[in-house]
Amino acid sequence: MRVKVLSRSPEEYFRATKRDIHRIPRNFNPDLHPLEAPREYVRALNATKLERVFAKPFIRSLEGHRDAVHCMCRHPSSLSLVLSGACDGEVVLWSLSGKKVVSLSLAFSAGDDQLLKQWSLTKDGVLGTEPASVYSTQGPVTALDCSCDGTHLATGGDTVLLWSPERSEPLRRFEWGNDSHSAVKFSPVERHLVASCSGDRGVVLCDLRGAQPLKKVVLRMRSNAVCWSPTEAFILAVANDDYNVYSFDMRRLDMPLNIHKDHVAAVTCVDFSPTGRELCSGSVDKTVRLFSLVEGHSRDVYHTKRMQRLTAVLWSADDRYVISASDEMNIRLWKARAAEPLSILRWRQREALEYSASLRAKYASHPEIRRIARHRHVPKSIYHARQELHTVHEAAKKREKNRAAHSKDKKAPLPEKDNVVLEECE
Amino acid sequence: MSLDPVLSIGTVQADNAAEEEGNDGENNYEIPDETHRNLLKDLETITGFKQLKTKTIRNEGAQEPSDFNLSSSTGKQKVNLIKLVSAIKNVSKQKKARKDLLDISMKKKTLETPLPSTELDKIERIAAYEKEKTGISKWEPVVEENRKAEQLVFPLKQPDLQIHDLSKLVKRFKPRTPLEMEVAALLSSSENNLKDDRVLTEAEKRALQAMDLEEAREKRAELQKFRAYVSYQAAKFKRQKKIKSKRYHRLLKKDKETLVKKELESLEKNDPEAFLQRLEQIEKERIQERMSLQHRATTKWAKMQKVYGKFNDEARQTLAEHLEIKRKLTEKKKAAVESDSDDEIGAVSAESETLESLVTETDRVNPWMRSERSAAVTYRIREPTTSQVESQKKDEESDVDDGDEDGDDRGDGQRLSNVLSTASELNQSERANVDEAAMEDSEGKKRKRKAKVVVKSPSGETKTNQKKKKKKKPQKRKQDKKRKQSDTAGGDGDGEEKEGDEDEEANDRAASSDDEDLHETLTRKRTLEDFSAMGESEEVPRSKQRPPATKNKEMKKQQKKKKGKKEESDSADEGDDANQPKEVKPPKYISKARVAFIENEGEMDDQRMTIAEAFADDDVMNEFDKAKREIIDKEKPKDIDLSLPGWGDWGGAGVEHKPKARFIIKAQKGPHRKDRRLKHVIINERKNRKLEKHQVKRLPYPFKNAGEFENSLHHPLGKEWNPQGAHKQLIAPRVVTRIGTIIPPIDAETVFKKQQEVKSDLKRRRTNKSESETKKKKSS
Repeated sequence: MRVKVLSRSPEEYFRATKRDIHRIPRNFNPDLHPLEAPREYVRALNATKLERVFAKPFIRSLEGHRDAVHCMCRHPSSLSLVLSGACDGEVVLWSLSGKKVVSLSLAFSAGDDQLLKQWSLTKDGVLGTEPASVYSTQGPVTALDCSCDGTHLATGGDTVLLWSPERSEPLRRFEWGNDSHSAVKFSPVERHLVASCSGDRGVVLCDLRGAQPLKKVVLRMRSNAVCWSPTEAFILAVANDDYNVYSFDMRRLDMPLNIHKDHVAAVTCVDFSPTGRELCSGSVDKTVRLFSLVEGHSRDVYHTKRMQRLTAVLWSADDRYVISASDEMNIRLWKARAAEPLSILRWRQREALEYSASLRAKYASHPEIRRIARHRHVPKSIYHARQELHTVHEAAKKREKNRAAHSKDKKAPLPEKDNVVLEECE
Repeated sequence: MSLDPVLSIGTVQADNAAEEEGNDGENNYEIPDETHRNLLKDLETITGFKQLKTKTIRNEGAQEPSDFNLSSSTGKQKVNLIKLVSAIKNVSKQKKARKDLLDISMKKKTLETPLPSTELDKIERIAAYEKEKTGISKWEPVVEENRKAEQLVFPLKQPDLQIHDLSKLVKRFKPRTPLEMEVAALLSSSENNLKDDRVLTEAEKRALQAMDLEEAREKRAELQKFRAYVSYQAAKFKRQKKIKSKRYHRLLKKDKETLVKKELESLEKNDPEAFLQRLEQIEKERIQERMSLQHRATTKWAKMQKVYGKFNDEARQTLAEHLEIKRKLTEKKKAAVESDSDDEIGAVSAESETLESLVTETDRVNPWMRSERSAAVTYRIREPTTSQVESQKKDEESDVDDGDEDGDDRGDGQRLSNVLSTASELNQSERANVDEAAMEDSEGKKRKRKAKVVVKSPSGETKTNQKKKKKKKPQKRKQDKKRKQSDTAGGDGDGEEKEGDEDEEANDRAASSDDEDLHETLTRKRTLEDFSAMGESEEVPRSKQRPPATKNKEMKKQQKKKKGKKEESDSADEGDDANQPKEVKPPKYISKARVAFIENEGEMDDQRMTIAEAFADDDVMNEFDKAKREIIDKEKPKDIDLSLPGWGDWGGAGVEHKPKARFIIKAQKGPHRKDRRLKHVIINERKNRKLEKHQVKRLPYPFKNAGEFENSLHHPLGKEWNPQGAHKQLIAPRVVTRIGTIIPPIDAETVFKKQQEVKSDLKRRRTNKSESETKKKKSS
């Protein structure tokens, strides 16, 4: 009798050298894997849970200001340097990695004393107490921005002024109406474009090459901040007093591209991520929220017990961190993606993370996974405010609907986007 | 036509004033003069009064010219240049001036009044905005492409990596160091250097020129032939270099060896001095080989081969070959051997003489010793019994005592005995080599002496090994001790680590005191999810999907009941609360269709009547009954037949197989169906409510239908179901950023540079084409 014995050639399982990977024989025939979908679902569920477990966005708080922080800007060529100006006129250069106050002087500062001061910065980060040059402005300066290439400055005040560092007088003056401008921002891509927020609820676009501003859009409420997308030249985002952030296409200003909701108080500051796909915004409701450009609701919300009203937010140039400045004199450093590890990853780790991320994305619409992924704890005040807003919103909607139903022409109420822009001035 | 200018101005002013008033009142009375006159006449005829003559009002002329009184749009007395000029008709002196003025009046028209500055600004702004709009639209394709991209790697401006071939490098090469400069100077000045793909060098050309034609041709042909040969040879070598055949290489090797041998022989005959030198060289190589460990089984590679050799014949063979090399190289050549032995005789007492050299002498005699090391590798060493070892020892000792040997051997013997005495101290396992050799030789007495000698070399080895091992042992012990200590300390270390961990944790806690509040209280009732749920309810009113009759009730229900209660009410027995309105959710995309019935008993009869009337011809009720019966049958628990064909049965043609009762597990009767007494309802009992939370209720955004969505989930992403490459592609992230790299904003120059380059390339080609065409035309 011949007995068949299970035998394997050592070639099948022996590695030729130690460095070879272990050969694992596999058959990818889907008939042999009837449970692949449930297994992946469970993996996705676990990945989602783990992502929430590891979500600890807060890194550190930078203390040292003696008054509320008013504005912030990042160093053009260094990732770790951030400048901040406080309400008492102090300008501080921070090193985010070392957590130290480096100096009290910086490139450009503007204040209510109607002076524009240029400070120079050595490599050590310190220079004398005297500014390098001073420009006198006609009125108080409320906002300041430097163009990406460093050739121009724009200031906001009674009018939008364009400066060149070589001239003591402004190059151009852009006026439209009598209200002051609370924010100015250069477009990082098309460097001749400047957007500003005026006090009469308007957002004004200016072209530095022309004598006249280009366009003005009046929204329902005042805008507090504006920023341009660094990758998509015609996209800009506006932080508004009506609790929303609006993203606009510069070419079609009659309605916003998207309304980013979720804040429960006036939004004071907004910034684009360097990839141009996300936004971060700070609000009077004491939270920082992160939005995807194409979604209406926030991806994440950051808050701590002691953080007060937000005055400025920045997205770091390497797309890893978000920096927020608030009323209670502190600057806080957050991770842009809450569960992302900060260290350099080995490829196995990275692959595992990528796998889990793609699984999460794949099963994102499943209710259980969605529920876990979206679960956030928010302070009581915000939760209740949100609820209240919701009821208000619903009531208004209902009212509109009823009105439409009982009117003669029975027109359906306009979508929300159509009601954002009050007037498009020319 | 002489007009008093003052007067005219005055009237004009008055007119203007009237006009302004009219404008103020926003009523422009512009009645045609004729009709006005007619009206006045009519009035005259009716009333009989004569019209009062309007007095001309004389005003003072304005002191300063102003915007408002310089021109009038509706003045009858408009001053005309032609008329003015005609006034100076007769004056011959002004003839030229008149002509000029007339020309001007014919040619030039008056400019339009400029618009107010606000309007002007507006127009300017609109124009500028439109221009900017079209200008910025150039980004549209770039943005679109980036949005659609499967993967974007930031920073977008990646360094331009290109593969440069050698020719380019050569062209770019510039001599810098003095040596390079010298060489370059030589090369450039040399006339024998072939340049720029020419057929002949300068020197060759000159030589050709110097020759007569026939000779030059021959020479050139010869040169060409030679170059062709060179290239053929190069090609041949290249081809041969690539041959992988082992057999071929083996043969090649053999050929080489035979060549060397032949050479040696020829040298021996012809040139004894060179031969001796050669021998010396070989001897040197032998010495070197003996010193080196290269071809021993001690290298890492050899050890690995040993391991693989268990399973792999090839590895075994290569190792054997490897050791053979050693053997061959260390083998003494005849002449060399003689001289060696002479030396040995001269230096008998030399203590420095190694045992190994003695062994090598015997090696040639003993066939086993030739591949001694390879044998040690290929064959397992048998453990000898203690008795064998003892007998072996006795034999050896007796041999030593015999003393029938010459002095040389005796000396060896003494040395041997010394060695053996040390060897006797060895433990058995360490002396495995000795015993093996001894056993093999114990067959014949004649060989004993040789065996002695044979023993020596391994014992020598074992001695050194022993020393090594002895040295190793304490180390091992030390290591063990250390390990133990580390183990014991490891516990401590672990403890320390733990402590450290704890400390770290504490630090973490301290550091993240701010955000600890986030995670401490995990039992939060409300979540962001709730918010989003609110948002969802805004976007898609669910009430739309429900039948209108239940709307209000449903609303109330929602307000009153919470989820848990709802579930309870849902899962409650249908038979019991048949009177209550039953609500089942309408069909969803993914979940199986469910039937909704909402009925009251009072309404039921009426409905039945109407249904019966409506479907008088169709037998709906019976069909429903049938369907229900089918479903009930389908869902009934069934008997399980465990019988296997061919077991416990007779086989062959014509044998019937009856199901055997003992192999059949009878199905147990389950609980009663909930709808057994409800004729008009089918209740799906297979529905698992626990699964519901994992099922997608609404079609997610980008998908058009359920099938599309299901397809998107169909393919797994994991390594278990995909090859590595596919897996990598599947899990590739949409956006890739690098730690610590600044991502600058997108740069117009780099983005549009490529497009420009492509365009300019096209242009150049076109111009070249057109040029060549024109040339052709010209030439033709």
